Amino acid sequence: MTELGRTIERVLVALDASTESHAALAAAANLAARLHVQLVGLFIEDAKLFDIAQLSMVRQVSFTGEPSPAPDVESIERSLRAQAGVMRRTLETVAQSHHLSWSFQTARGRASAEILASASHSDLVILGKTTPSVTRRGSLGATARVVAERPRGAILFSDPRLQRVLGEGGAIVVVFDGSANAPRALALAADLAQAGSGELIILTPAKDEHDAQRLHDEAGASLSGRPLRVYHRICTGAGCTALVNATLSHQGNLLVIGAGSPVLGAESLADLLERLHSPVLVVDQA
Amino acid sequence: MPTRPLPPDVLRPRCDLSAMGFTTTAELSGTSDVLGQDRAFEAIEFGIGMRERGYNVFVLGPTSAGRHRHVLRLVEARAAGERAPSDWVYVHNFDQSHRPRVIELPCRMGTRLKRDVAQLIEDLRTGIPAIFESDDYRNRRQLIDQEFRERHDAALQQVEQEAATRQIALVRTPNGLALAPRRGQEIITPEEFQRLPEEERKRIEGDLEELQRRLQESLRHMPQWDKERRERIRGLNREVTKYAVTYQIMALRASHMEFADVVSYLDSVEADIIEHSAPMFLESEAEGPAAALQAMLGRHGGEEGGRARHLQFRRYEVNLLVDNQHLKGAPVVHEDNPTVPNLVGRAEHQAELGALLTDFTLLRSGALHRANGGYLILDAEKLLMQPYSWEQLKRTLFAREIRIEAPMQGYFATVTLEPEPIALDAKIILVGDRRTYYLLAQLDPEFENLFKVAADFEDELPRDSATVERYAGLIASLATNAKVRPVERAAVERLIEESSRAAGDAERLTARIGQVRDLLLEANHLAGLAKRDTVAAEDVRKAVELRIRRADRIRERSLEQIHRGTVLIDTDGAKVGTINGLSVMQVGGFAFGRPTRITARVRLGRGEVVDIEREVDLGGPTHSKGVLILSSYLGARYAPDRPLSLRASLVFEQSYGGVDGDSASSTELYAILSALADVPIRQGIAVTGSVNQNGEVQAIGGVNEKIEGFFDVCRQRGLTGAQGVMVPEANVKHLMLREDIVEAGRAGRFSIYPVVNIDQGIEILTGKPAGERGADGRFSEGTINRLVEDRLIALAEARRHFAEPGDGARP
Repeated sequence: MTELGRTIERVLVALDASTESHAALAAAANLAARLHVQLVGLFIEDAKLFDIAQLSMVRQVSFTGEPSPAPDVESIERSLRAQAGVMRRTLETVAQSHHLSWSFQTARGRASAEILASASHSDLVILGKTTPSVTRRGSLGATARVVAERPRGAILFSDPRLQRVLGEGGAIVVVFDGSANAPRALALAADLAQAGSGELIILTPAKDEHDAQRLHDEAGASLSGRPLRVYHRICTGAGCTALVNATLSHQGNLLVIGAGSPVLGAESLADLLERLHSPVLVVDQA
Repeated sequence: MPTRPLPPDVLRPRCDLSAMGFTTTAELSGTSDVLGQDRAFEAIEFGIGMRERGYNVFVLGPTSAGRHRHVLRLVEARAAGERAPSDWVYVHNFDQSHRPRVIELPCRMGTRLKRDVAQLIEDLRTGIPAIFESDDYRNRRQLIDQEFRERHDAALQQVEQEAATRQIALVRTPNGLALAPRRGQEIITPEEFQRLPEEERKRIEGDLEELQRRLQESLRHMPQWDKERRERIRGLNREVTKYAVTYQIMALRASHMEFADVVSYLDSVEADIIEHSAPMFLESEAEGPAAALQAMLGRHGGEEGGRARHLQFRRYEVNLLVDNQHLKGAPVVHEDNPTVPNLVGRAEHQAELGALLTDFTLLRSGALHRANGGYLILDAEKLLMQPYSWEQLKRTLFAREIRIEAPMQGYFATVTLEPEPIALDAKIILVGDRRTYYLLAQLDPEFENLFKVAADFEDELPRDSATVERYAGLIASLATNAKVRPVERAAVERLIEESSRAAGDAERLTARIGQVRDLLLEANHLAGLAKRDTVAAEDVRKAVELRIRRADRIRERSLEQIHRGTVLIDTDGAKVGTINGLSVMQVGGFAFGRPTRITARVRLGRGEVVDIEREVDLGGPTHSKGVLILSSYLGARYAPDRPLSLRASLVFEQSYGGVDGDSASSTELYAILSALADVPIRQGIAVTGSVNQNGEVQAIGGVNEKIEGFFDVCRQRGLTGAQGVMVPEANVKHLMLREDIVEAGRAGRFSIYPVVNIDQGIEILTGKPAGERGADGRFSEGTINRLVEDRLIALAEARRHFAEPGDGARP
């Protein structure tokens, strides 16, 4: 049996200066408050910016459309320090308003690499699902896409809806497919549901009735004693479409799934993230 | 024929109500609490009946005459037959927010409009958010957002794709968008770039330059697109808000169709809600990811959002400034504290973030608003005591409109409200004393234009048998209204006598009914202490006695000074050129008399009577006038054909506080005559009365107090029977003396002598005949006048002797 708060002791949120980071921070703070755990902010200074600063021929255009001097290392560092300062103060304010224990870190490197590195020693990492590229706002961000290719630990791909999910409650849908990551995914989903609305929907991709019963029993045993309203649903079909449909049809607001889940079939986790307009928590026990 | 003392009955004419045949006031059907004010009432009726401009009323007269009560009664009686006036509301002015609009509505319609608009606001508070939260709205909003997002992305994508084909990365930096050469997914390093052939480097640089130009071009469209997007969203918001609002307002408009101002106002409300309400119900205009954090930090939504919505909707509220729905007739308002805000209303303020803010909902009515269409009663003295109130009232009456403005508005350059004025149609009734009325009439040229009707309350009433009977009925009314014990007939008689005493005239009664009422209440209290069921004459007597007792500390000190010989007053024996005059001191509401020694010395001079008081600026002009009359009298009476060659000096001994009035002029003359004749004056007789050039003694004021003052000194030393007071005969009708003096008079221990002229007086004072001129033109031998004349002739001779050449002037 997994007790509330034992699977998650620390929530780490990946930050940069984007507005999406603010949303992720808000969601992370809310989640940490509900779970009564520490909140860690990780501000990532994208190494790509320093690569650009090395090049003299780089051309830059300001957001007003005017050409501006090519960035140099010093100005990039100064700007990032300022942005980090802003995020740190924001984190502090949010944490204090929720009476949270908190810390703030900065790291320089490739955003995806830094997030994955942090995921290995954090219970839950939150990053913006729609981390912006220059274009295609609202679609899956490049960092999220890279992280989704080889997830590690527990990574919550957040989007603005997460805040609403946590605020209003709503069901959490977890895929319990009998794979290696499924038990931990179920435990985390149960923790989150227990901290929220108390409603948990278990999607079981069963080959037959016997298999379905087995997964049902396993899940039931794992959740024994938890004050949850648990609903078992059979997931028919495979692939992103099946998962998206199942999540939507059960009015799920957050999907929890193990990395490498066979339910995805031939499709990738990035595909799922792209198509499901809800936050997704990916769990990789390895 | 020697003057005889007045009989005791004259000293205090009794009131006899035995003919009315009642035992106590319980048997009287007193229905009126007013007497003898017909003139004032007619004036009030006239004033409040005249609707023309400037016919406001100033009610003047003594305090305690019941002015306020009677005015209120008369005005209320008239107002009851008139219709209730309009309601007045203030609403927001959507064109000029600092000038709230005013709307006049028939009585009771103000309440209805306020209620209807409040309901409208409540409906919109729930109706509008519901529309903004609907799927339809969200979908349409998303469509707009999506359209512009795609337009934005498309513009950048073109650049990004073009860059990608040329192996150039488009990267977001802290300051904008950067274009940099790449190899695969990684930015090329400087070393790698340098290793490229020069031609390749030049191509890349050319590509970067071109892409930068195209990127600039794309970004320059963004502000225009953003503006376009906002316009489209505003249009959508207007459309959906209108859907929510129009029907509701239409229904409201229909129910107030007959009031053009209301319809116009509702049109403005509709337009404003459609234009401005949407942002209140949208989480944020951006609705971006950061909104969640802002909400978490309390910057949007939650209580603050609710408050913002509350403030926004407050502008649609109706401020019912004057609500006349409960009036049965025209309003009658009595403002007891006529400050400017209490008169013309005020704009209250609320503290918010350290600043004081106001708006039209915080406008509050003043007495003029509430009295509009009716009557406003103000106390004149209180009005004049309040800074700016008089000027503000006049300005309002001249303009015939009420403007809500702070007293110092216009002196400070701060932004404040200037509400539209309200037309004024109210009758103003000022109640004040006579002095205030005459001062205003004299000093303020605008006063007569604004207060054309004066209602002058009488101070006194005649004490004839008919009035006395009505006065008894009035006392019965007072007793009934004040819920006191029934008053015995003897007590009523006593109260009426005290009324005469208050009037200072045995033939008059005071019109200051409040004083009689106070005495009645005090007597009732004493009757209660004595465990009586009725108020007896003894209670009234004792109430008067206690009233004097409470107030006469200074009188006692004065008596004590005389008794201890600090102030020199003789009450027996006789002295030349020395006489006891009488004066009255007013201490608060209590007046008492006391004797003052007046002395006169004469010697050779140029015919002048020197008033020592005047020489040292302690004498007033009236006193000086009296003294100058003495010179004239002496010259005309005793030296008509030769120069008046004396110098007489007069002194009020031990007087340090100033002397005025001519009530001692006869006294001074007696002292001079005594000095000239060298005949002593009886010190047991005190004297009061003024004198004219012909030697006639004239009436003075405060005769009762003066007599009582000397009586008290004599009684303290022991009444001898030879003591008394000499008063002008014209004052006999004013005598309402204390009971103890009447008793002393009856016992022959104290006498009041009425005199008509100086000859009568000097005979009483000296015991010698005054003397008449005989056929020889001279006064009879041995008379006072002969002695005076002889002395004046001697002085004239002496003067002539001194004036002859070589006589007396030679060294």
